[in-house]
Amino acid sequence: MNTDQVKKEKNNSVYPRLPAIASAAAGPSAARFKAGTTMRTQSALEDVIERLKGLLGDRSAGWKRPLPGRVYFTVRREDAREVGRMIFEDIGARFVTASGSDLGEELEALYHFSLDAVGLVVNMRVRTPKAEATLPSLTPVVPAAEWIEREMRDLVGITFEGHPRPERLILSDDWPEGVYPLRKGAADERG
Amino acid sequence: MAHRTLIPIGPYHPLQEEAEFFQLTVEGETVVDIDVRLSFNHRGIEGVAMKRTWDQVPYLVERVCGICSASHPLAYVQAVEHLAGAQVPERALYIRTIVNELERIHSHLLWLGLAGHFIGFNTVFMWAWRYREPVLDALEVCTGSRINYANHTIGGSRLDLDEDKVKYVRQCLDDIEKPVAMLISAATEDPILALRLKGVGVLTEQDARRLCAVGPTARASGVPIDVRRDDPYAAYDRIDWKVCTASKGDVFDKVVVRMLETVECIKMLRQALDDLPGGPIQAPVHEVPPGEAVGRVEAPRGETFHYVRSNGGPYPERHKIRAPSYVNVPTCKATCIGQSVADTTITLAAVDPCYSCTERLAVVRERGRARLGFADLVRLSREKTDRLCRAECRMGREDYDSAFALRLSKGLRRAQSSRRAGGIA
Repeated sequence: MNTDQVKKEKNNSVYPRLPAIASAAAGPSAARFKAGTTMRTQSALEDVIERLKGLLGDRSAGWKRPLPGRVYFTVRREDAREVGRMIFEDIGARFVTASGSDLGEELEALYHFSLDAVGLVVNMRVRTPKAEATLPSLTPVVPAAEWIEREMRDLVGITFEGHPRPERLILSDDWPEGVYPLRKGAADERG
Repeated sequence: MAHRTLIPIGPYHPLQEEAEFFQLTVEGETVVDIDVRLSFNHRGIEGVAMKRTWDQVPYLVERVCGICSASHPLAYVQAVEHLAGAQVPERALYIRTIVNELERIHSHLLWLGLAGHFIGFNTVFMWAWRYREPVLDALEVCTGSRINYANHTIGGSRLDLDEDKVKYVRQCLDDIEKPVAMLISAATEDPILALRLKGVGVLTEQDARRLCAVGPTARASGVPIDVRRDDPYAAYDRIDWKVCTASKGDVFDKVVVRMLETVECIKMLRQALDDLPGGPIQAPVHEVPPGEAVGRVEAPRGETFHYVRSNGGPYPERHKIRAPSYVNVPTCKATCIGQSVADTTITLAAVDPCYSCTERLAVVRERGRARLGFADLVRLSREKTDRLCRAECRMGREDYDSAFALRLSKGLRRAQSSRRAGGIA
């Protein structure tokens, strides 16, 4: 069709397509997740958890598994970015979100990943003393973490070192510094 | 010496319709950068949830979004049921499935209508929203409300479905099945819509995985993830259905995936209504012990994720809510850049951003010339459709739209007379 040809030429010259954002290898998950394959068996779930434990080794501690499809563990601050990278790239999990909270003495960031092939949610806990309130940012290795780390900084007051764009996301520009709405004891006029 | 003052305009300004949300930088006709500013509608629901009792929170979180209002409470109550070790009765699981699939149909039809509206085909808009009405009526009959159903409770369902309600929902499905199928085939086979939507707003599979997109946005790019299959909840592991995917990731594929899902929803609903088991609809849950849990639901836009932590008290200690648009909207960086300005509205609308986030666009031209607002961008989009119509069919956009409407109504009359049953005129 004439329009197709014209469109093709247009795509080359008048509307130059900037290259799609170059992405790091999506990991072994890319081949596994082709439509039609299913690994949703109990043995596959156990295998993946074993593999995860082996990969993380002594970087992770305090493993909990309240349900077959949910695992929680804690990592040290220094290991957080590397462990996040391993879960995202080596295991091929999808980053879901992160929950920041104020535990009293410490601030916690709980990163949630999903292994869709087996229906597993992997929860990686990192803590920092409130006096320091800094954690390494996962955004350089998990690009999808950019917004949620900015949100945790706004609402809980955790500074993420190495974040490419540490600007406000949730709070308005005129919100006072140092006031974190999700910290314990934060004032809320709504009651 | 003259004193220069910089006067910022926006995000709120008397001359603008609404707060600025997306900001595009263009060179000529091509978008070279896009920036998203959000949170103009942030209501602090996570903070409020920490001051509400466990059973009050579902009524709170269903107001996170007006159109995914069955998905958020379901994700929350599932997390709390994990914590409390509650066994939800099977009848309640089926009722949850029925309400959520009805919601999926009306959400997808709403989106199809808006996509048609942005392109300038008001027939698609009118038909999609016309045949959305029976679905909303069915939801009203079942739960008492067209949106914000207040039906999912911790441990079960608030309202039961009796014989009359089941019959009403079955009748509603019968009424909309043919017209919706006709609209889908007419829209997907239309040459102008194909020209307008194919190859536009392409999200590659690599970018979809890298940016962790979910829902139809990811499935249209060939990433076959669906919480209903991957982490089954409600009655989805008891009925026969399939995950709908496409491969190219452009706006047309997103249309196709959502429409295939709508057809699939009707099949799933019929099975759920036929298999509805007897029994109670509420398990007793008296307290929530300390612990943490995750609940996930496949909302019409993708995975809705709720994390809940309990310290044994009457309120959640921490409640994290992540709506699917939170990961889908940032994919605009990968899809909008490199395209023409006229394609921007439809590309941004293709991820189906939840409207409680607001979406008003602004274009900043190089060298600070006049800004274009949202109305201008929709106008540009419709003008492009008009150009395509004149080039292909030698008629204007509105005439083409009228011809489209005529074809649809003729087809419907033919279908009705061959069925010899009372249909929707």
